[in-house]
Amino acid sequence: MSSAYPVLDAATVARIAEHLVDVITLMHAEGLDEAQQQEVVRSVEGQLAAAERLHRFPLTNAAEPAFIMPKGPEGLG
Amino acid sequence: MTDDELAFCSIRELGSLLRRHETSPTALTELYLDRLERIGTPLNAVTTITADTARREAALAEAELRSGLDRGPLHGIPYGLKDIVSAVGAPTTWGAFPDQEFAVESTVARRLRDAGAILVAKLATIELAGGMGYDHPDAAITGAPHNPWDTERWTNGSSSGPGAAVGSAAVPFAIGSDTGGSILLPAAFTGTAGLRATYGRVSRAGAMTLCWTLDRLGPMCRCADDCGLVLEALTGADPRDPACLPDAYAYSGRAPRRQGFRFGLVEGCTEGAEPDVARNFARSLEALGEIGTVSEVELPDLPYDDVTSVITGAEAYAALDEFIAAGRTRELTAVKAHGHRLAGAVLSAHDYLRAQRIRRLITEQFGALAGQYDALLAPSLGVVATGVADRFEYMLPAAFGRPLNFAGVLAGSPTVSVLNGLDDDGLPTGIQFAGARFRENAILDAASTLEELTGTTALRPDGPRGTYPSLVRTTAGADR
Repeated sequence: MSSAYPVLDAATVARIAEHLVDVITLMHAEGLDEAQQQEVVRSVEGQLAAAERLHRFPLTNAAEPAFIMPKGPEGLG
Repeated sequence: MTDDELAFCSIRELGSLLRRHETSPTALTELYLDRLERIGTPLNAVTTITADTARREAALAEAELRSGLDRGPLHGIPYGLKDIVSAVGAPTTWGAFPDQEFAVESTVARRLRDAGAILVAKLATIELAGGMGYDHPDAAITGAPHNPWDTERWTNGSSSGPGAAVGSAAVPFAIGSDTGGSILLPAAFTGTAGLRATYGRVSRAGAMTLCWTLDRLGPMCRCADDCGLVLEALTGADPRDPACLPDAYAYSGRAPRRQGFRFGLVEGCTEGAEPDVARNFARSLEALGEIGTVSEVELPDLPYDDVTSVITGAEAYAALDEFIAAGRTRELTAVKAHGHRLAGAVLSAHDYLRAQRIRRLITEQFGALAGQYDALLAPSLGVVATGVADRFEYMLPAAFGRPLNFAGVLAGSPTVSVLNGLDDDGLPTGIQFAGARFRENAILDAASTLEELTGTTALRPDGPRGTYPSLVRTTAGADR
């Protein structure tokens, strides 16, 4: 089984990253210095890359988040 | 027995000396207060020495033991608390805010006091448990944490103070915290035993939150057996932490298992490891082969690193959103931290949920594999301690990305790291024993047996032992 999540081309991903960095900059009215800006760019790009790899992982509709851990050995799995 | 030999005793050994009246809670407290001042402080392992409280608690423990009231193996034993965990009467700095205090005591501090343990210090942490990102060891108000085995190396993080303090016997044991390896990795760098118990075993009430679904508190000690003794005192239901498991943990240490283990050797786990790490791991496997079977296993091919990264990015932002959104990350020491977590603001909810959905599969598949063995084995880290002045890559794959660590992080299952030898320069290497959820006893018994077979708990940081008169590296006379 493979994921049906659409694959975006590199140029589109780069544009998304630029826009997301702009959003973060707007959210910080105090302004971001150059070092922060560089780190935000690096972090947004890393985040998008990680998310893209997770988009390639096939999941069924019913696959449920792991918010609740079993409270005892019998409930495992 | 010299003071230095006494300081390096295990909890069980100290307890035996206490009950034979060969030492006392007050004497032990004074011993470790002195070492915290003389050794722990120059290592940058300490935020606050709680001398007054410690002396009061020691006097009480002494009176209780003398009158026949024995609260168990921790009674009269001093300890340190990572400074993201609150204790009344001392600041809880989170490694970043020197004046921050909480009026409410953490559950672990209360439980340890109930067990008769004596809080002697709050111990250093990388700022905000490293959760805002850092790429340099000095990312804390206490400065760079020096490694007792070589003070030009660092301890790893974020439980840097517990690692350095236990490793140098400035305390017999400490409480650390782990979100993505913050107990395991300092344990490996400092030659200590660190236990990340099953998620929910130990209440986190009163501790800084970094990631609700990953955070765990746990013991860092001189040996695996001590980890079991401490864990037993920490567990049980706590309404203040919704994730806390209802049942108390019972340690097998009074009747430990010493043979008949089934080990799963994680395929490819020494690829890229430093030669001395691989050599010591191979020696450990030989010893473990004497007490059980060792079969090679393949970890399920799942995106452990990416799932951990996305969950941490989302939850760390949410847990500290007021701080981050207000632009206060610039108050932190690490320049990386000024911008790193800001990206969490634009991490989508569906990507976070996708990560948690994949995590469910990781939990199931890793649990099924781990359940077939007493422990899955790999080096704790592929490298020995790196330079205290060196930059490193945050979440560095060579040091961090051993998938067994992240598999255990995400599955909420227990892992213990113990010292398994020294490299040719006298630096510690570690081995991790990862078990199925709720099976701490299997991994602790196996790790304890390895320690007994190989004598690694007798290894000490080189000298002059326990004095560390300066922050200058000395390697002569190291035990190997």
